[in-house]
Amino acid sequence: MRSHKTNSGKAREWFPFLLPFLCFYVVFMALPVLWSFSLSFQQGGLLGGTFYVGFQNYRSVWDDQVFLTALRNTAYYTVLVIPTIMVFSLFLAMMINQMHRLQNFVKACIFLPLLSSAVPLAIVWKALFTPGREGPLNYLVGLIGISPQNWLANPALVIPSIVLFEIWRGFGFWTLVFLGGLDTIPKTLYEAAEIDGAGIWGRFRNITVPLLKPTFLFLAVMGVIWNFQLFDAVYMLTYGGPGYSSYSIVWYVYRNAFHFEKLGYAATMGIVLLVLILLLTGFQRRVMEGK
Amino acid sequence: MMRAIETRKKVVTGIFVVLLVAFVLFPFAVMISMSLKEPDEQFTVPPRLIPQRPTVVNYFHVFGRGSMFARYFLNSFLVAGSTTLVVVAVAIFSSYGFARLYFPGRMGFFTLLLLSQLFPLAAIIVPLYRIMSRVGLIDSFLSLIIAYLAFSVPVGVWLLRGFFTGIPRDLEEAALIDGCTRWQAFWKVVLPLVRPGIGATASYVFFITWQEFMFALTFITSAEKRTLPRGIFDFVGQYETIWGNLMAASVLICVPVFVIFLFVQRHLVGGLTEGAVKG
Repeated sequence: MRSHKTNSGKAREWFPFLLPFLCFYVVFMALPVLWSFSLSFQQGGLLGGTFYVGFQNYRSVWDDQVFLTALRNTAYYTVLVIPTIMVFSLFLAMMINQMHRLQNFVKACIFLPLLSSAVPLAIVWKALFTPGREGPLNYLVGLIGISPQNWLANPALVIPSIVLFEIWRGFGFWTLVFLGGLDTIPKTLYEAAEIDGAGIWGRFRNITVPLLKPTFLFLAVMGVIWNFQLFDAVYMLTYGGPGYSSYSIVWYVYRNAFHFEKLGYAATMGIVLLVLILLLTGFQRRVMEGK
Repeated sequence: MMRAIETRKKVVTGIFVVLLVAFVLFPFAVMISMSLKEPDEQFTVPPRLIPQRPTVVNYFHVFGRGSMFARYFLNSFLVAGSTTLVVVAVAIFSSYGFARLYFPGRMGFFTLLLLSQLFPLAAIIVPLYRIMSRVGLIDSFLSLIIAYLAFSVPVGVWLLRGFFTGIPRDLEEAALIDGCTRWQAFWKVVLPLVRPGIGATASYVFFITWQEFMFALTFITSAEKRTLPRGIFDFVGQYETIWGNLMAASVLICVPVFVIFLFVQRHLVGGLTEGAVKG
């Protein structure tokens, strides 16, 4: 046990190492967020002057049907993505975990979508989503007897289509994190359970799931943070349409700031988004750690 | 009997690998295929992955007269490269601090790192835009680099920290006993050992800045300063989408990062997942 005196001595010793990070953090992260907070009480254009309006922006947000639609869309999208990608990636990770020679090759392959920008990837998917009989995706679903769909122009299909694209783009990261989590589970546990007569399902439910709890928590929290910021896919694939069917919160923030020049209002929605993310992730921690 | 089960397991794994790789690579295959097709061959019934009359004319268009693609490439390299250099310079020191820190304030620093992940970029883009235009930096590479630093410094510090924690403390203790200062122990003993981690961190930061779209879309207004994710829209075509050109440009955007990835693959994949698991 070190004495308190040496500990504080240590703090002084390490501070110079941490200083560069703290400077960057305060200047580029903390200050803009604070400024955003102050902007949320103002109104005015991108370049011109602004004036204070109290809580008016916050009141407008709750009356704004478009914002509520964007919020609903974002929540629906996130609720579709997270469970699907979690089950899919965990299954993949358990399969890949059993491989020997091909493991590194497969890991490298599933990393590829993470490397490229969303822009070229969305361009390809836009081509895949082409409506009519000449669309590649329509050809594929045609093989199992489904008639051609207008994927991105049908209000009922547009969000599931974005979900499909984002799952393809993101599952590699989830799978790799699950693989890292599986690595931390001692093999002897499984062997012991097997001797005790536990089947595949029993071993999965009683060993894998409980021991992966930190991994689940990490992915669930990061999943909410990332997916609530949906923007690139909306810009590239649908531009928010048809109508408001694929408006996401960040898309609406972008529209207000850079198309409608409603700066204060955009900042307000940014703050609302931040608060929502904080509440949700806090709630997730509660639920997962309480269990 | 045992052998039969083994073979069956191998066959199942084999089918699984083929399916998975097909799922991941199919869109890339479509990208390459469309980049090698003439306009009249792009969408056929049924669709064909292998072009019947392969052509490289799309690639010539992308680099052809009046095209600024080469310029965008250079811009992207400049912006992503400079951001990476700064992030690595900051992360080398701070990650080490984070990895070795044991004083009571430790948890506070971790909360800071975590909070930086919680801040949505949409909450900082508006004030950053205002700051940039106030000081006359809007439409400059510097404005992009600064915006990228806001989100990539925490990521870089977090990733590199994982590599530092992998280095046994005893090594530095021994160096300190031998008369090194803390600084020398860090510079001469620890840093050389963590070199693969620095490479992996640098390339990851390069990847995420190379990809970035929202700031690139809003902060840059003049055509000659665009980076690739924004510049690629030049090839959409005025009246109808020219798919061949778009796909050729898309392939070219992916190539540099894929090549870098080949070199850092092992360390990067390991570092990312370990950092996530250890939290």
